[in-house]
Amino acid sequence: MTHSEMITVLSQRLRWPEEKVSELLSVATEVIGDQLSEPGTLSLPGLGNFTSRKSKEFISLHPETGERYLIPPSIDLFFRVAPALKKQFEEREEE
Amino acid sequence: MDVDRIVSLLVTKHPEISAEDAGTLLREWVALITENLLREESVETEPFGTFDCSPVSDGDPACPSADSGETAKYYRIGFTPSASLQKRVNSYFAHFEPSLLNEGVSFDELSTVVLGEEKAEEISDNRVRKTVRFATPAPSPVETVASKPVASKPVAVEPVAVETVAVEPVVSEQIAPQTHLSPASLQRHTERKRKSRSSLWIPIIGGVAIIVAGLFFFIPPPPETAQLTVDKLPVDASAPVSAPVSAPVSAPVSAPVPSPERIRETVVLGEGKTLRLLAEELFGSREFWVYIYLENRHIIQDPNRISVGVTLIIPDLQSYDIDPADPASLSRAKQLGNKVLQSR
Repeated sequence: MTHSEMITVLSQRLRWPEEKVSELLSVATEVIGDQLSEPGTLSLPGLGNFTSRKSKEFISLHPETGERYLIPPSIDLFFRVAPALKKQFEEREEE
Repeated sequence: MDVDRIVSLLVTKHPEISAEDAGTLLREWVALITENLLREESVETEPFGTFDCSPVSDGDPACPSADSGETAKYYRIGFTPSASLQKRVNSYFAHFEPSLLNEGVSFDELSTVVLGEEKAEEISDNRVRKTVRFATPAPSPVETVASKPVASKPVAVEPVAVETVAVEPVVSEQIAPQTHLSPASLQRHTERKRKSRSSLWIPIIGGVAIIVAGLFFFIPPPPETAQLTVDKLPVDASAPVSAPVSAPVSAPVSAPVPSPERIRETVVLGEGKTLRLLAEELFGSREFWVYIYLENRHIIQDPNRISVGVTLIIPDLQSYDIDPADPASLSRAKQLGNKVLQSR
């Protein structure tokens, strides 16, 4: 499902104009992104946990040329599925 | 509840949005994502990222061995952050970039990682399992597809009256779809195949783009086609250096000007630019950043922190012996740059 399809479906379910849904969703994801810029965990019940961790700076060594680069620190994002979603998935049988 | 925290932050940042609307939207958004994941479909939220549910293939450490005899298929639910989310999350480190270390420079407290042997990204256990069960097949056109001989390992299943289907349930992605007897799952399989075919083009196009970008950066542009807006400013002892110039002049950066006044060329530092990037654009190598700093020492306090919109004087090539093709010139610039940074 693409982003525009998702906006359309949400708009139909909530009975809101698509512009309102798109704007609200954009703002909500910005807020979530700002929260994730600080190391920590953000939980969306029913979906999973988003964890952001700062990885320290390190030195990268090129094995052939011997050049060394100082790689700056960065924030890495990890996602873990919620147990409830896993259970829902496993309860579905395929025929 | 983190949803409440997000809602309160949303309302604080945008008072025109009501808490009720924000909470409703977030809950519906999460519900829609979970519905699609349960249908094994991916969901893309543009400024955020993509959630997907993909089957675990043979060879993946999460895939159980074929000898396990389980009647189950395994999927992995994953999230790929978009480029804009990664940029937003790493906004604090946006001004940092990898820098080449000279011989003799060491940081004992930092670890050294050989390129290509970086620690693998932590893999969360996002594997989910779905039970596969045979149903009594009804004659249908799909059965003829499923009855093709396949190299599969027979697995004990509950006894069913199977007459024409000679397929056993397996975990591998290629064979498993043939056990499906429903048109809907067959259609999903063909869609998945189409998607995987089209996704092959993405790394090919990415590789071509990387090659073109590499050629662009390694082949220096001719002086006549310099992209920077260079303002020529006559140097007068009484005039301030940072005085704005009204008309930009598009002329080669290193063109000699035969006039009684010494014309000094300047450049305005744009957003996202650093002295290193500027040096690379002007002189063909990032190491010559130190001469830009030295030429503008009176307005630059910290070479790592310069405000956007500052007008910088471009140093004269001859005065500083700037030559990107000369290894001695590069080495001198590098040493001088290290000295400047260490003295801070």
